[in-house]
Amino acid sequence: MKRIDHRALMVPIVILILWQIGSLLYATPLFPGPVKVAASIAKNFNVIVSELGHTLLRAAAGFALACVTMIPLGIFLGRVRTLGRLLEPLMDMLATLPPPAVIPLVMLFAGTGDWAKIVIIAYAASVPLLMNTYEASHSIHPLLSKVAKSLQLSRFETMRLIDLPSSLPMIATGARLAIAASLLVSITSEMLLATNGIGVYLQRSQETFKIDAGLAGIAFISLVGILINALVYRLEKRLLFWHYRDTAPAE
Amino acid sequence: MAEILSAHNVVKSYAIGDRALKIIDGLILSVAEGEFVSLVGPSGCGKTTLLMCLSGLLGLTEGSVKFEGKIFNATPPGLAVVFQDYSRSLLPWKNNLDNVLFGMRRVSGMDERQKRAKALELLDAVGLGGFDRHFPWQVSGGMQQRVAIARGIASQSRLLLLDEPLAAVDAQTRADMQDLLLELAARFRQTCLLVTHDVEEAVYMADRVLVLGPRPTKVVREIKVGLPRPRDQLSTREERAFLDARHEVLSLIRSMRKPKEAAVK
Amino acid sequence: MRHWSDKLRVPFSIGLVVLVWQTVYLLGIVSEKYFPSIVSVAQSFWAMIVSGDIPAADLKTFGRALVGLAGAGVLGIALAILSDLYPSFGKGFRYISDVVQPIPPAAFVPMAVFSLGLGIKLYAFVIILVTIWPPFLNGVAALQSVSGVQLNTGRMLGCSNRELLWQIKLPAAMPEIFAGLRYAATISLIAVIVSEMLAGRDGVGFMIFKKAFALRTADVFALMFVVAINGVMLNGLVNVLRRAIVGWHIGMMERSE
Repeated sequence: MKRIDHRALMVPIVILILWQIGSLLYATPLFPGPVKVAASIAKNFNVIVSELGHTLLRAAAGFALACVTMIPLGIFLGRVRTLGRLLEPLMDMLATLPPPAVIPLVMLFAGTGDWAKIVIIAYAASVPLLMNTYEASHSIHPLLSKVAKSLQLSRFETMRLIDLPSSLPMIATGARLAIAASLLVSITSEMLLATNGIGVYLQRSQETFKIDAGLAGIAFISLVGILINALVYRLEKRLLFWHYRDTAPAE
Repeated sequence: MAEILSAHNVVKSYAIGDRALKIIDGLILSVAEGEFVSLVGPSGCGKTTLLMCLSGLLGLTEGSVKFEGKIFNATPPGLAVVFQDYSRSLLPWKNNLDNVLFGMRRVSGMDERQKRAKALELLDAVGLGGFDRHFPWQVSGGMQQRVAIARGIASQSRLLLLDEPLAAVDAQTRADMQDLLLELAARFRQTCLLVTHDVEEAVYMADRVLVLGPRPTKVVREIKVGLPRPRDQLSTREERAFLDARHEVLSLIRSMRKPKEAAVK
Repeated sequence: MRHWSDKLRVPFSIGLVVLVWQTVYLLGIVSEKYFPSIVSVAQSFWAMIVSGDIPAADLKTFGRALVGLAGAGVLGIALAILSDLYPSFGKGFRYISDVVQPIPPAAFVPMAVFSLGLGIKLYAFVIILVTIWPPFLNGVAALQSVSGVQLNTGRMLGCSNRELLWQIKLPAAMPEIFAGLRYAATISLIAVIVSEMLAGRDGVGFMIFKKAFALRTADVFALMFVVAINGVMLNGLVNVLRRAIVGWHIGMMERSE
């Protein structure tokens, strides 16, 4: 463990205290203080965890769908250079369309069920995954392509054995953005296409004026986000050790 | 001649965990006005750390450094450093002229127009006339280092501390720039203290070569170079005095290598 | 490096979209109710422009996104500078950013509606709370990683700590801050659209939702096109600013290629 900077800890503590004082001044259930939210976490723990489970499951499914389709596609477009270059403007166009704007449209096609949401999540996760994979595989060092030629690898083997591994660090960056997007769209789509999940829980808390319960839910979203980030960071360090060793400053 | 820079029993150590790592231990040196002094030493002896200490960019653990008789704790006006890493030491968001002008930020008694004229004159003097509007990253490495030298002189320096300024340029450019440095030092009355790992360069440029010992370092020998000025890349390097000085420095540095290391090399 | 395909790229991409779209439409794979032809999408687009619906809604949406981005950008950079001046504050504020950053804008909306109402305050709160992080985090990282040689150059020429910040560190950190701002532009637009969908009474996000429930599919597609144009414009504005402020960096990167 690193040494904790006590002065740094003052910043969140001061903010919590100000928040508490503010809530006491207003004294309305619509602006609960941290103490009330903490109590609400204890009270609603089971509901929140089960609703968050639905949300995460769909986010994971959408993310997985995007990975399975977009990483191969990105590698392919990076290797078949002319096609990739021709399609670059199309990828840029898709990147400018914010995923939540797609939600109503998918609702028309696929209703409000699990699949509708998973498709939207997959779309949201696809953009950063495809962009990063394509960018990495497209800008691969020419020497590596020569190595592939000298080993007489077929096009497919080159993509699998050379392009994919050397693109992994940038794919990892794309994956991190994609995970954030999946979570974001998963929750947003629930709020717009209500069935179940943490987004619905938040809506319901608002409708019943239980803001403290809603903030308890948000606290769990934040916690899950932090945990996922930490996990991805660990995984990246372990799987891409060669990349991090490469970029470590030379002595 | 008056003393311009002096160091008395300088000690510099870093704390590593709970141990202290000594880099410099009891270093004494003195540079007189108008001199060109070279500092050489075995690799890893702490040359750059020493130069940072002498320029006021690093604090001392013990001892004192005086510039024109006064102790200082930040780089004093009149002292300029030329760093080895010219690509980082020039500010990439300023063009060459503005980089030189940035060197004149502490210069008083000149208005903006006079400063501009002076900066252009200096760029001309280092052979970069007409490149004032170029950005540093648009010109070659050797040219970048010339801008950095012009910036040093522009700060109305009397003492230039040169930290391996030519280590990163190619051999042909290096010879040209050695002569340019000597010419500039004479023309703009700069006292120079050159840190280098290149023994021939050290001898070729200097009136005096100071040899540093292994870490923790201090000056272990002073060699006076009895070569006439102006120096010439061909004839100077063939003179007896040059070869003798070079031999003396090289053999001294070789004797400092640990036996094990010498065997590897 | 120029390539023969460079000139063909944009027409090719647009042509491909039109081709695939019309093929799907003509084959009747999807009912026309859900998948109108490009012609009818264009007609709806034009009709909504003429009627003033799109200009009125987009003025609101784009304005909100732009003002939010500007506010979040200024605030994010200011906090990054503050973090650099007072490292303890910086570390402490990192706790806050770690906690708030994973929360999507949609989650804030229902919780804030009662305290902030449905007006400008709500938009400002939601946009700033999600858009501030890219410029802030990039700014902190970039200010910290300014090269030691650059700092020593400033010190050698007599810069005080404050002058070092303004004359060396901030200009050196600007390219990375702009990378953050570009990302923030996308997020800001998302936050506006989501807020309009969830709690809005006007704006493009609200319109999309209304039209979708009324099964006006051609209108929905046309409005999505409007959203995409907003993204391009916001990005373009950031780019104009970037060229003006860190044009040197763009030149430097192009040269090193």
